[in-house]
Amino acid sequence: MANLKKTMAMAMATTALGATLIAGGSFAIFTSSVQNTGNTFAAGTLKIGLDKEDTDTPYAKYFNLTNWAPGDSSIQPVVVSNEGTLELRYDLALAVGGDLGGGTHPVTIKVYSDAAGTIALTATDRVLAVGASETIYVKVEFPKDAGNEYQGKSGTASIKVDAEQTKNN
Amino acid sequence: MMKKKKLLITALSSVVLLCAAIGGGTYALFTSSAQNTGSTFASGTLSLTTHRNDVPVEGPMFYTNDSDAGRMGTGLWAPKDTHTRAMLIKNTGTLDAKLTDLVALPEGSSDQQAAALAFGEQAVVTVAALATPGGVTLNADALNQVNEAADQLFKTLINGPSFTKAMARSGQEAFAIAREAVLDWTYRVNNNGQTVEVSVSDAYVGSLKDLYNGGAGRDASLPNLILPAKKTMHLAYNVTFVDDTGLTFDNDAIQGKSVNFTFKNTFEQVKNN
Repeated sequence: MANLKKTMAMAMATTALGATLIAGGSFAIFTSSVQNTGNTFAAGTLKIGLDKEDTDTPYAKYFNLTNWAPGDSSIQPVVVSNEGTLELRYDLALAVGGDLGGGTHPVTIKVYSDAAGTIALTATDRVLAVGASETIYVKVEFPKDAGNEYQGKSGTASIKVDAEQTKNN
Repeated sequence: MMKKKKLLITALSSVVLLCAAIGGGTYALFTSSAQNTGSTFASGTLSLTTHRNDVPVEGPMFYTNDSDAGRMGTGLWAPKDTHTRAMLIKNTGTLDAKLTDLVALPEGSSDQQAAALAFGEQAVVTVAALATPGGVTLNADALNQVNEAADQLFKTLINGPSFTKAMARSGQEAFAIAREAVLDWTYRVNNNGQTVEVSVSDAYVGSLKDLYNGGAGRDASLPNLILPAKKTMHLAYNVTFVDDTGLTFDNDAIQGKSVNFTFKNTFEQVKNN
């Protein structure tokens, strides 16, 4: 009886060995591999900045005008810089709002390339190289034609730059 | 006493054996035998060496800046960028080899690997085996011309409307379109004064992340990729950073990240396999 058990165990062990051999056999083929390591893919950054941004602390405004009368105007330099590692192209979006920005004679906002406000500037597709910056001049003007309906009112102006990569684009 | 008995039995059995031998001998009149000795079994070798198409030939195929370690820097990557680099694999063994596995492995710490796979999701990688008539080996200039041509092809292809539309539906469909285009591709280059028409014998197209596939890589279902003994294979690796327009991933999420990959190719014997 003990003998039979031993035989069975032996038989089973042999079968197991056979199975191992078969499984092992399927990998036994000549192989060779080659590799190339350390391939680097570094993504660039696209970042545009203004010398006065909403995210700055403390945050400064380009215009803070009080006691304005029709015919008044103000021009301020705005420095736009490329703070990323890729060349960029930006569009300038200027807007006025509030009571002074509405009605029949709203405050106007325009951009110039000179401090005197004589040379108009194309506000779209402005290219800035990496590390470059440019100064543009933004002018707000309260039209002379504005009537009494604008008295005692306030308004807001916003200057926004939207950039995209120039490469492949 | 016991020992003696045993000895006796052994002696007896030897005698019986001797008799048997003599008995056998009586039949041995005409005999003949033939033999063949010295049969040899020499196994072949399967060994490969690799180098890149760059000066010096050692080092990664893709790197950012030019230096003494290489003059073919990619610069920083931006969406829609595409770069092609060549890996030359020589079968230095005596057996023909076939490419069975391709894998791209992210390198570094687990955080770096995660960043690498985030890039991998947004990058399409094409591994194309370049074929020349009669297996002519291209010189470095000719290979560069081929790489530049491949760059152009991929730029138009992957940033083109049919690929972009397909990609928005499913990556697999887009990759299939790209593979078809690559397989049709031929390019004439001047190689040592002779015009050589370079074609693509087979190609894998997929995302870089798919090529990692959790470390398993991809079975190269590329039946044409056989590298005969002593021959050199040109594997062109093209990587394109896909624009996210209309797709689920966000290019901006990987701005400023720098990631590393290892590209590994495994070959097996062709014979009996």
